[in-house]
Amino acid sequence: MAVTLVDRDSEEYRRFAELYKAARALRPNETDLWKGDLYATSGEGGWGAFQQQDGSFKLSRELVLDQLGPDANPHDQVQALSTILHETNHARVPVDAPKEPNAVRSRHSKALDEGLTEFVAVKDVAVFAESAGYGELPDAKPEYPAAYRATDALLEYAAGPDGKDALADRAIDQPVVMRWDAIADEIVKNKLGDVVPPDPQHQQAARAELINAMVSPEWDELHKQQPVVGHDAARQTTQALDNATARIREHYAQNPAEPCPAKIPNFEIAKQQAEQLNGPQNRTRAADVDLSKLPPPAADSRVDGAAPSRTTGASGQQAPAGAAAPASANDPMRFLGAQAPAAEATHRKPSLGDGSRGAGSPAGPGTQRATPGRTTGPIEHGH
Amino acid sequence: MRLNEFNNAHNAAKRRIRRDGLAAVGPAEQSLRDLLPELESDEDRRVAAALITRLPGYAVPPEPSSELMQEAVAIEHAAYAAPGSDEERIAILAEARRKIFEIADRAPADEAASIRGLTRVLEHLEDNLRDPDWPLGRPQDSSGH
Repeated sequence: MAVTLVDRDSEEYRRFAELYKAARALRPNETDLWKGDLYATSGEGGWGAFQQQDGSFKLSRELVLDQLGPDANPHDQVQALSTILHETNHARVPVDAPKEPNAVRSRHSKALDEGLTEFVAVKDVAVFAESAGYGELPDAKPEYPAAYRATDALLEYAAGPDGKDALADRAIDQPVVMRWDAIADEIVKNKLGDVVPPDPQHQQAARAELINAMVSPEWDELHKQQPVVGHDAARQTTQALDNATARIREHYAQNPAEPCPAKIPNFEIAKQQAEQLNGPQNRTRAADVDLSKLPPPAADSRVDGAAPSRTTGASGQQAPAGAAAPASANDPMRFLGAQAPAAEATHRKPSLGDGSRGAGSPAGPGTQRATPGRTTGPIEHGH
Repeated sequence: MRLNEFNNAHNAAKRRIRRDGLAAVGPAEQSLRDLLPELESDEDRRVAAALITRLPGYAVPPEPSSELMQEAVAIEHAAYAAPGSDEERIAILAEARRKIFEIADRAPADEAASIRGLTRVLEHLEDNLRDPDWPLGRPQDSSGH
């Protein structure tokens, strides 16, 4: 296998850069993690990836870079363009949001990330090809990888067949660990809107209960102790969500004034807050702590801008501020420190603390959309 | 309206046409044409109009998957669901990708690319297993729950 840095003055680099620009124009935002280097691999037998560690792309010359020109087979062009879309979407949001209570910071989020990113690449590739000057390319065969199918089923459960594409758009605008929160928000709105109050504290707790149901062994394809052979991940996930929805309804039938007693998805925050409540000598198992009994994250634990990327590593994660004084469980403000203000629903900057609809919209509907640059002329047609 | 929003409407129309056939084409074309004035630029309208012209093609049912494609899909799904340690799963995913590429080499050109495309996600899942930074915020050997 050979890996070479592609010369920035080369035609190969210029073509990729134009496509990257066109891909970003489809879903513009302020976060652009590509630092400009493009590596070409040869003889590796893989497609390549966006590399978070150094902000570069590493793409197969045979499968991707050589399939973008006018002489390539259009079926190969579709796959090459899908790869560029997929990888570009990995380069436009941070991975982690360590201070968010509803962040799922386990490998479950990687599984959803791959399924969701492929789902979005498949749904966008035709408009991307047309925008980039390739014209009409043949549809890929309608057979999809397992992660795509599981994501498709989850999105459709939450938003229905006509709403799943827009939900995918909202989810992919969130940091990787916050995509579950965006999907949970859709479920709260569509299936629990009549029982969960609009109060942010109630909304966040209901989302947490649903996230815990979604983040099941079936989604952790890397889980060692609970093999998933023979399981139908989609069916199991939707059954778990049905059960969680029923629990939330039952809770509000009995305690309409109290948020759902959901466990905090973000293990670090659950652990910290358990320690604050119980003291270091009497630690409660973090997974047993529920949101309704905990104080808020400290005000300075809010994620106001781009969250640190995974380059900090597990050991380098900044812990949530531990100095927050425990608040009464009845304190109505106790979750608001981690909740995006309503005004941010239309703010240009993605709000990492709120996966609710519109919170992550990069520019708001109908505004700020950039168009692909055409200063260097159209990209060659692939016919 | 952003082009991406139009694209979602186009994809929904495409699904309806695939489900309902030719009768769904006319209404879908009209409803999408009605959106054109809402787009933000002439370039967006050009792209959107091009997509609209493709709608009749979706009324033709896609050909059933070939045996080679079915074989590749079965390998992909089994590898995705296979249990094991990180090292075992890396080996399973790599072997599945190798087999799928071999199947693609035996397929006609119009299908080979889609078969190879099944490996894009497997490759990333394999890379993720090698990523020392995950899971975030908890020990590597914890249950994830």
